[in-house]
Amino acid sequence: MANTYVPFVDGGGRIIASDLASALRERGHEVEKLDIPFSSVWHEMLEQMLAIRMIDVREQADVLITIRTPSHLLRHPNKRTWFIHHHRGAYDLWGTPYQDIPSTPRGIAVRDAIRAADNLYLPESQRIFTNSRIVGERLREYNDIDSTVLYPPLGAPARFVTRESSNYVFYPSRMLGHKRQLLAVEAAAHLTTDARIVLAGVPDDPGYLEQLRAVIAEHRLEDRVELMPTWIDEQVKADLIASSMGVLYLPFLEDSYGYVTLEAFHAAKPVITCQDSGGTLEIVEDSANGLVVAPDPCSLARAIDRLRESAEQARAMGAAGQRSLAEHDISWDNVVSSLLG
Amino acid sequence: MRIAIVNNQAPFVKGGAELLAEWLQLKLSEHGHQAEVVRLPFQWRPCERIVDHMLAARLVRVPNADRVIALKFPAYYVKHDDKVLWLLHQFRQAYDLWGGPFQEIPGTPTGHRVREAIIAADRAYLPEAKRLYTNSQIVGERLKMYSRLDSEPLFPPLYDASAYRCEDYGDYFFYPSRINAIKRQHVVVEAMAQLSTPARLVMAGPPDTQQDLDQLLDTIARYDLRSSVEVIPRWISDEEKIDLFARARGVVYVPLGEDSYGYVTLEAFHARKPVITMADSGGTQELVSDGVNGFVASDVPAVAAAIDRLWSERAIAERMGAAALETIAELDISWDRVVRCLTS
Repeated sequence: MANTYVPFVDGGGRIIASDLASALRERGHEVEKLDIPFSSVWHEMLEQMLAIRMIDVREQADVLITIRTPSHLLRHPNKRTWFIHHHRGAYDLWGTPYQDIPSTPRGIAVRDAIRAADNLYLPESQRIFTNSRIVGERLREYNDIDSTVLYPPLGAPARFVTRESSNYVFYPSRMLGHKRQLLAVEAAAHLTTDARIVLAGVPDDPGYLEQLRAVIAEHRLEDRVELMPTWIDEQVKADLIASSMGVLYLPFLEDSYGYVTLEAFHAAKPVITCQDSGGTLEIVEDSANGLVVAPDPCSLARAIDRLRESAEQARAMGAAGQRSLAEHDISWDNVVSSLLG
Repeated sequence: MRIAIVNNQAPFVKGGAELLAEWLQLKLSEHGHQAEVVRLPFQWRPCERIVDHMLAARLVRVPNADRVIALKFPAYYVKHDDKVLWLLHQFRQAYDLWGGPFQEIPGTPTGHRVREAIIAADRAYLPEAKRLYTNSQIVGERLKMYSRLDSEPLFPPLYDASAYRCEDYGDYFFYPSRINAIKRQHVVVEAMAQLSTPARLVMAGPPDTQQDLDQLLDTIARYDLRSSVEVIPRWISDEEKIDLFARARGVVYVPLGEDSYGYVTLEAFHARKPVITMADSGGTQELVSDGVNGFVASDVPAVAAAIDRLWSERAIAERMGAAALETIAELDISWDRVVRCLTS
């Protein structure tokens, strides 16, 4: 299994890779993980891509599974790729403020080389899967490559159980601008029921945390909103989900549905997300297994009130969420048989 | 400090260097550093692949690391502004093993070019390191001879030396090691046949092959030594091993031409036991001084004489055992020193 990673930074790609390694080992396979360090600084990328192409593991394994870009540049006669994202600065983020390669002749050459390498080496894979529909659509649009969606399951879902619902919704996520905890805090000011909002996660940006606290103070929301600006233990998180009315996941335009969504569904809790959240919309269906709202505080507050007013409906949506996991076949059995099939 | 330990990775094979890298990571963390092991896949057959992987190592980046500690060829070519080497060895097939039975790189025109590329790259890139340490004197001497570079030996300690203890100087000698031709267990059996005392020998370790074990057992049977020589042909647990060290009269370690002193020697010294080794064993003599903390035997009769001597005079075993512990202190073989050297 090959993956790339940024040393000293934890990323989602590493979680998928180590979960997959465990799932493969549990099913009797021998797994060796190749974790290749990778710097995404634009002018250092091409030579590192060449390095990956030079590494030869063709003789060492029966099957090579590649995950994070550009690990698919590795050669192997029996290569499978679980593609989790492009180097987006060279693709869909080109021409946006998030473009991380300059529009100079050299930058454009680097962008084109990244695209050319993907076009050349991805098709070497006998099977190409993506972790979401949107990533698959980009592969089709930019690289003219077909792929199949293979949703990443949770590594250890057993701890996500359901219990009697209390009066709060829970938002577990790193506290960052694009995760929009601010929207949740502002919504608290518009609640008409006694519903509460609990937010937990590492505040990656201290300024953002200050902003959240300022809104709480300004609208005197201390009784409505509980901030836990720290890393929380998986079990603590599972307990908070278990007793919640539902889970919030409100990112702005994310690719994947997010582990939070799966955790909620395993615990039979509905998920409230936004119309512009991206990947969550691949499994959250409005009024079926959760609520999909416009990204404004009033709409969000109405959705939270709705869970509080109708516990029965909330329970039914949570149960439907649990069924969605099976309907989308989000399981390690499916992942392993697809990748090795 | 954020420290990346850069090492090789041979898929599906885990060797001593990987263990050392993990230990170093843990010790650096204990000393308050953020440490990660970065492993770069390496494949050396056919020999052209060697050059590919040298290039790959050179092109890889290790972002976010304040310091890189590189251990092995070709991972040590990695480009970094703050790189320190703890060299376990160069690619010996291009150097001291070239021209011998373990040369491995073919003597073809291509093989010669590959060898020259290795030598040239070592000369060009090894001097980039801010500091050069080697895990033994011999590796340092080769580095001087072949690459004209000065270095300092930095001996790798045991992960947890405090577990080793001395309980007794019993009636047996202990030889813990994988059983194979290079470790020469058969030489010790031959020595046992020449003893004038009733000393016993316990050998423990997994045989590399069934043939290695059969040959050893045959030798024991041939000399009719089954009552005085015991073989435990498997991995023994740390507890068993530490216990066998603790009650042995002395330790025997007679591999052929090893690079480093071998953890066995270090384990014996921490358990205050003298070590009997041989003149052609290689690195063991970086620790073992003849007549001080053990014996350096030149042939089989000398091995037998050393065993007899320690068996007859327990006081000598005790004195040499104390000197052995002293040797570790004198050479300062400790993680404190390793961490200090590699982070300063």
